[in-house]
Amino acid sequence: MTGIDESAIAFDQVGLTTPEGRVILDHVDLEVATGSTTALLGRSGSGKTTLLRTVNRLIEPTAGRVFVEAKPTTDWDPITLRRSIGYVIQETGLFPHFDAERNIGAVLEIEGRPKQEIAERARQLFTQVGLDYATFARRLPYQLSGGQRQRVGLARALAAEPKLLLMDEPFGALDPLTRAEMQDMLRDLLQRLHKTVLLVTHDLDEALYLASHIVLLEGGKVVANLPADEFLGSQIPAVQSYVRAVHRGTPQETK
Amino acid sequence: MTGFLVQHGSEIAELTLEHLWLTGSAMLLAAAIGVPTGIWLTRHPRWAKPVLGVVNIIQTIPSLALFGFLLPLPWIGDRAARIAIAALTAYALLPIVRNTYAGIEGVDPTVLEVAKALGMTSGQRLRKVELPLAAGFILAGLRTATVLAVGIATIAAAVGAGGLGEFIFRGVASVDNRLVLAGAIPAALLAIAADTGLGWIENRLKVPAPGRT
Repeated sequence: MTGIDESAIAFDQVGLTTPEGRVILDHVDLEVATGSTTALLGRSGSGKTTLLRTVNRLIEPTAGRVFVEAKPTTDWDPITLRRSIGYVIQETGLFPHFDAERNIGAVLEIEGRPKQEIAERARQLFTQVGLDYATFARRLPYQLSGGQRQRVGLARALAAEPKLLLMDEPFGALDPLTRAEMQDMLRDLLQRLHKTVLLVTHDLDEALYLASHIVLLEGGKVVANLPADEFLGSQIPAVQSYVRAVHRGTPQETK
Repeated sequence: MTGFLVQHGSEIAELTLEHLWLTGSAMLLAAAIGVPTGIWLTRHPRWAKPVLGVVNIIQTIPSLALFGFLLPLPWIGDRAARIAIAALTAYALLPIVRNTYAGIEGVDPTVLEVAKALGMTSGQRLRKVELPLAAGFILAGLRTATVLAVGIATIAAAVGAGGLGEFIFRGVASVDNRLVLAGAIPAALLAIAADTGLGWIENRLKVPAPGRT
């Protein structure tokens, strides 16, 4: 792979042990190449969300170092670091008392950008994520559907034009059809914007569809790190059993 | 009855204004002390129990006794109104501190985490997220405190601070129900007006939570 210097995000022997001695992350070594979309795949409790949150310092590892743009996160001012990274989570992340437009402009607002600039950028983003400005700008989150909320959440993460995007099960709460729609929109958007994306998911198909690289986590350890197109054919036992488990319903046994 | 109103009308107006002044200034003081205290407690949760305990105890002191206790305090001097305002402020603290604390503590942790992840400073989180989302709750505390203070302020007449309690005490002493009512009815109306007015603002501040799809 690329090495810490050229990668957008790098984990160097990152570990996290709770005060009670439970190991959440275990010597994670991982480099995320600039411009790539990397999916962190794994079952619940595998440590994927925790690993994601060490990037913007919502969680501090107890061992090792995390690098963002070749600089250890501990050398970054946490506020500056977070403002330069887009963050999208499942469903509930919008501010319930901000309308859609103010949610989208939130990062620009806290950076103290001029009102005119925020308004222009917000209009642009409404178009980018496929929402009609006139219809949705004034709506509060509770007046939006799940898919619309997720679009607003994505637009908010893109507002300050971050190079990095962290996404934690972004479409986890959506029905399959809306989910597919959102995945199409995101894939299209990522191809155009050239962001580095770290995506947490337990959905293998989503990882295969969106990611260029797939990292499988198990018990806080990286057990596989493969280009997406090599994942299904991999000989690594952990990968094979994950693939078998989630594709149980589809008959694909060939003898 | 008409004769009574003609005779006492200007006095009723005067004492109602005095009553408003006593409760109004006490509420301003209590809010100025109570809201920051509530916020401070959310940042120093170790102190929440003892501080809430103290304001709770203040509220269990019978009001007449509290007015009495405050009489000899030198910094209050001989101004009865100041005693009344100090006592009313002390009573109003509990609902304000408690609701500010509970309101902010009750803000959805996911929303707070996102606020942090987007890069809000802790001051921005307070001003843009926590206070607006807790506003309905904080106002409910102010409303409870105001209604309480309007009632208790009638006792202030016992230490010579004036207010509508004057009529009530005079009426009780002279066994004249008209005088008692001349104090009680405006006091009740003030309480209802405060309750309705603040309740209306409170409803406007409530933020509907997003439903599940």
